[in-house]
Amino acid sequence: MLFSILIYGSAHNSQSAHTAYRFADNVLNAGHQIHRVFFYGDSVHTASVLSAPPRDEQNIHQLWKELAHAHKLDLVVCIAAALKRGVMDEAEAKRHEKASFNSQAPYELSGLGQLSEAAIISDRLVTFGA
Amino acid sequence: MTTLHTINKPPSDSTLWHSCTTALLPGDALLIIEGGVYAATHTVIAEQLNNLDDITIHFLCADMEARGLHLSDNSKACVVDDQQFVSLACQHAKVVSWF
Repeated sequence: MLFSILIYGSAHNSQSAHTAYRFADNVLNAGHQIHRVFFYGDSVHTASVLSAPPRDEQNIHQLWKELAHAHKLDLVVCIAAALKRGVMDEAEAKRHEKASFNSQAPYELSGLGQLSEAAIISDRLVTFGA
Repeated sequence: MTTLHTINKPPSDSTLWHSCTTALLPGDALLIIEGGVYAATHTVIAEQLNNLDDITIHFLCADMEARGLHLSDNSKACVVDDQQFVSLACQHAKVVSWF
């Protein structure tokens, strides 16, 4: 079965990204596929490479990154939600004349069309709210 | 066509719980996750859930354990793990999240 996952919650003020990660891991372990993971709202902070949680907390940025590399996942971050929260990749930093950037592959900034496409193509779209 | 509903807020969010429970249809399943699992300790909600006909109620194990909660002896609900969460999502045609 083909799944897509939509995440709303902030990485550190909500369980959302953590619950979604465990769900995604179990989807893959059960032999299903994930078409796309879409980070929306405050969950875009998950894409920041500058996040440095204490050692006794899970690094959700790193966990998603490793899962994406292991299973070639498509991690899409809503570009509008990301830019207004100061999460941007190198290309967007240049376009907005910012001195630095804080997001890179496998996280990819893109538009809501990616969410619509995921909802159409996938057998299940599972949302993890804030 | 049945639906898996998930809810992640405690019963103190009464408007959300009302919206969710009134949207349940026969054959649907309700999976209570994250802070929502405090419903297991809420007398009114627990009784309301027990009285739902033809709707299965599930609590996510990791979230129950993280909060030191367990189901009461007379609860008709069951505790499921993450693998069963995936199975429930497959068994039902849609997944609707209440948050």
